Amino acid sequence: MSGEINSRNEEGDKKREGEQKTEVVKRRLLARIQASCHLRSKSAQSSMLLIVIVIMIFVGLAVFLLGLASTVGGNEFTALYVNNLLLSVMRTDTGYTDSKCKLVSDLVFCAYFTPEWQCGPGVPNCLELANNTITNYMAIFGNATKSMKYLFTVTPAFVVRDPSGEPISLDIGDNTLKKSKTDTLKLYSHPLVISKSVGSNQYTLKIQLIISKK
Amino acid sequence: MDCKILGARFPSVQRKGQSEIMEYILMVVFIVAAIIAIIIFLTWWNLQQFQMDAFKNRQDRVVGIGQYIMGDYMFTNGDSVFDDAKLTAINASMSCDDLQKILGTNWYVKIKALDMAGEKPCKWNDYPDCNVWSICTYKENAKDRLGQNFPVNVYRKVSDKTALGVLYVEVYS
Repeated sequence: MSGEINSRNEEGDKKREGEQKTEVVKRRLLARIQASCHLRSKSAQSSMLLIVIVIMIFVGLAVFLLGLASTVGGNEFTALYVNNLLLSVMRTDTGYTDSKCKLVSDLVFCAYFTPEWQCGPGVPNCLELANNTITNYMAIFGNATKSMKYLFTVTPAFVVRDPSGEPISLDIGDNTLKKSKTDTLKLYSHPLVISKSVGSNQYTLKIQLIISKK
Repeated sequence: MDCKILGARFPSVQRKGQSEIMEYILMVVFIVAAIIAIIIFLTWWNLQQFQMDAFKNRQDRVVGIGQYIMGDYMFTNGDSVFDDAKLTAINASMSCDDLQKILGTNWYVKIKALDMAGEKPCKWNDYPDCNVWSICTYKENAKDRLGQNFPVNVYRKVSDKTALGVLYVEVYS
């Protein structure tokens, strides 16, 4: 009896061992299949990422080349234009015969050093007249070609500073152009230096023109 | 059809193969589309470059003609100050062919003094009550026109005054 029982127990143990081994193999196989599926999805993800990166590189290249194209050209013309505009306005006659007011440049000089001077009886003072004359000439020029924002800044060759430490300058035109960073196409002329002798003293002024599209 | 391996469900080998083929087809389509897009972009870019070069050449020519006329003592008293007497004399005595020998063909120049309203062409009979001088003739049917305005001064000899003016230079093909 006991021998039979023993042999049955042994058979049962073997069966259990076999089942356990099958279970282990099954789990390992499942794990391998799952891992290979995981790897496949990862490779798909990486190829998608690669495609996105390539597209981004192409878009970036296109934007860079287009940006480069828009900035090329027109530099010589614009430099000539802004410098000629400053010179032409300054050399134009005002219509007054007083030596302090004959040309626009004389008027600017007068407006900086003697702003209260009057070019004739019943005529506005130099500062007001300079403002009016330049505004009028720029409007005439704008009507003949195209209107633009402009600013004439007049500073002395020697540095004179106001109490806040800023150099004293005479500005005629659109003051926002001086500090504005939003104006896309802002053009600066070369400073025009004009000198004048008053008595035994020599005075020098620097005039610069800034223009921008309206 | 899905198949069962050791009790778990997995896509059949046939289905996996199909999806792989689809993946390759999509990849090939994408690569071909990318190559075509690159070819189109590069062709367009080349055309743009040609057009830009052509524009730059014409603009250089406009600036060149403008600078020549503004600096020549035949027309001016100095740097960009045109003399109305000289301009009127040139208009009456010189032909366009003479200037075309120096500056080439296919261009047109107009100088306008801004001290008068409107436009009054300058001839011997009208001088000095006029404000427009044209050098060479304006062609209506010309192609590829490019014109630029330059601020200048015009010296009025009779009144001894300097007026604001505009020099208009145009080139065409």
